[in-house]
Amino acid sequence: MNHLSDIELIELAAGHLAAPQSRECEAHLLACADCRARYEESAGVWDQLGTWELTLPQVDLSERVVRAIDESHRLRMPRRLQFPWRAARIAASIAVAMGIGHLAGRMTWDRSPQPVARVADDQAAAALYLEEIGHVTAADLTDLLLVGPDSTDMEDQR
Amino acid sequence: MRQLAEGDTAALASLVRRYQSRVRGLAYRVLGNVADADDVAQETFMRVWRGAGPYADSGHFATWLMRIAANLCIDRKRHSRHEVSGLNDEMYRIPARPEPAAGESAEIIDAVSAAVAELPERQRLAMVLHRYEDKSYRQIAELTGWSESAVESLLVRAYANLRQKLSALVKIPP
Repeated sequence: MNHLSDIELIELAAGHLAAPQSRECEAHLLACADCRARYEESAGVWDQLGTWELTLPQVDLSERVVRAIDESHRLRMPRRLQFPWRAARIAASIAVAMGIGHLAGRMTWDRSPQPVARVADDQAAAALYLEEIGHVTAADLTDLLLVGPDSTDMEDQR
Repeated sequence: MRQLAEGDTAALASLVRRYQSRVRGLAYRVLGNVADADDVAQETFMRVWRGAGPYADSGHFATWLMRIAANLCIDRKRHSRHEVSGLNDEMYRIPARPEPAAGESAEIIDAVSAAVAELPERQRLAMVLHRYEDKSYRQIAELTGWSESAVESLLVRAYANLRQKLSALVKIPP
């Protein structure tokens, strides 16, 4: 003979079993003292739990719920409306940052002209392998070749 | 439900009045605190409002409602456990106790509610749904999303625990 399982006893005490299953269990209980004792325990707990009837303080939650829903709608609406303003604030922040960057750049930018002629002279001197005789630019070399060393010295003296 | 899906707050108010007692009762028995139970009930109905569309024509409204409430109770219990971890346990456990029902001695009700409160939370929820919401273990599995075997095991352990706790306090066949 198969004994009744714990869950069968619990469901039997609760009245949750379908009629045929319930009849089977009851027939088994008549024949099995062990299961009958277990069932009485389950039914005893079931009955004791039934004494815990609640009489909670009476409240009507309907107003509270409707108010909370209205509130949540109200909070949600401005968020949608806030979006353009938030975008505008971000754009303004970027514009200000760019302006500051631009001003800082203008203040620190070295405006002195690049010595283009000097660079060209140096390149010409390099092409003539004149590094060995010191810093001689193409202009100096022209002067040296066309006018002669004295005139350069004289100009320097002047 | 169709009116609810169309945004009719008067229909919602009517639905709240119809089901609030059941939802509050479940939440109170699981959470042991009237204020928490009312918060859970409010949140349950707000979720019903938000999710009313898909259930407008469904015949399973009560099951859906209790599923929301049961899950919110579990969430609430989980959060409150984290929040009160630094508080005095005694302070946390004192519930706002409702008046005892007429005809039952306060002592017995105290014993029963204390025994239920001491159950682990999943056992407690399963037992409350079984005993006070008249749900079979299969329906509890459907409500909570737990497996049938898990619910079966939870119920068997819950009733065994209760028998042990209550046998010392009230008269139960040995």
